Amino acid sequence: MKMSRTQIDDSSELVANSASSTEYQEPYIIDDSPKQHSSAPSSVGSPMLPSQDPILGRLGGGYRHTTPQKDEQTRVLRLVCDDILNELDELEECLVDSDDFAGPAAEILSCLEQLYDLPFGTPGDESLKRVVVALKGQVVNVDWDSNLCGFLREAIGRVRVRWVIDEDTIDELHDLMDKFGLDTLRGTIGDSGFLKRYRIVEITD
Amino acid sequence: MKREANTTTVLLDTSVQIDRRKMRSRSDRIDEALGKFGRSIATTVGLLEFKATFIRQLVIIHDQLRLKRRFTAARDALLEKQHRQSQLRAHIFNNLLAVSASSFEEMTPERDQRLAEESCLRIENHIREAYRWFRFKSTDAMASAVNCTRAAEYPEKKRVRYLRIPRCKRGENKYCRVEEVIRTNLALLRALKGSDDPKREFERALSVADRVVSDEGIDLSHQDCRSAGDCLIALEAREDATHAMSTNATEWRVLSELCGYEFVHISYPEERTR
Repeated sequence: MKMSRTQIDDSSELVANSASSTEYQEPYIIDDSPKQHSSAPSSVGSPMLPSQDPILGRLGGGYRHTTPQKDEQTRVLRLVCDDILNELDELEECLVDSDDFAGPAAEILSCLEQLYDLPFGTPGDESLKRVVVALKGQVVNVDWDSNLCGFLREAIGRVRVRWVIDEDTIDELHDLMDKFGLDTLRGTIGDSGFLKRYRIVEITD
Repeated sequence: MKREANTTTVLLDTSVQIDRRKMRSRSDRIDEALGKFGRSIATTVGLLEFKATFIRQLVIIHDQLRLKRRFTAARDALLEKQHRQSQLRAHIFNNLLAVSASSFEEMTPERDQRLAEESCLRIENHIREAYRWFRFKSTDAMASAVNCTRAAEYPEKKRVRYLRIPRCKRGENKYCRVEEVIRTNLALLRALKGSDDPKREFERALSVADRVVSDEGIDLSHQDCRSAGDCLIALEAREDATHAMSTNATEWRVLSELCGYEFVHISYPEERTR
């Protein structure tokens, strides 16, 4: 017996596919504003710091544990991201005025290379490199358009404010590619935009 | 005039799913064919097959790149041999990784190493995304009469290498209903006897079915399920699909007839060379 759509949707044996396996997680926002550091807690009568709380501390609630090295990594990451966003502005102007977008596009690729070589996270962690590779997969050998610019702007904007870059960041980028109608597994199977299609027609006299 | 809703459901064989990830021309051809159906489904055993073929080859290439740390060396080691998956490997190198490798650039050892590293990371992205694509994005729904536990697991990375699919052991790491599905559909499987079977796929499936019947406490593992792969995929979607789509006409025509599907053959005549 064939099942109707409603029946199938209700069936436990047929799992309707959702857009993504992973829920979107709020990125860790780095607050730029000058912080008012509280003095060290006194031992008596002071409330427990969130980082000392067995639950909040584990979740990283309230206070962020950071090191000068991590701060420096984050600062450089954000500078390179800012460069990319600036180049994107120029590239979008080029798209409106003319088709000569090669300069800003080359600059963006160069920035992505810089981002690739940036040490980030724990030693041996390759998550940022994987993010860059995923982004390069979309922008290498491509005919730029406003949609791609929109994607890269949002992607870089999200990476820029991340404190931790991990597997979830990459999933988030892939979901973003879907949102912008880009091919997540783009290789040369992706349309480069530079290809022209020809038809060979046999002539019969 | 109100248009009648399209209630057809097409089951996609793993060969079709792999082709959708191989080449743009094939992907377009299949998408065009899918447009004629109300919705599409895949199965959990199909996902297991996908993991064991497409994702497995990605993993093998990844491991070679990690080991050799040279793109050209890894590529030669994997392609210049008579392996039955060498075509799929060539597709992966040419269509998924080639965006990193320009043949016009001079290949220096440093460039080769860099290319190997980037390709490795690209494959890591592809492994996870290919799995997510099959499970959540490629079709409208997933039929899960067998509910394969191995299919439900993301490809897992240890430190640098990916773990192999573990042996299924009920009570430890296996919660599927494969033996139950085989017992329920025994008559249908036995009807395959005597069918045209050049690749001996039905013979292997019947052998698995016989073992399930003769041994009540049998514990099939994923290798057994892969031996009976096409049959299990066809059985798993039996309650839901109206059509079955495959590139493999010999087996799927027979299976479709038995399960009551209308068979849709996908071929690529434009790729034929004289």
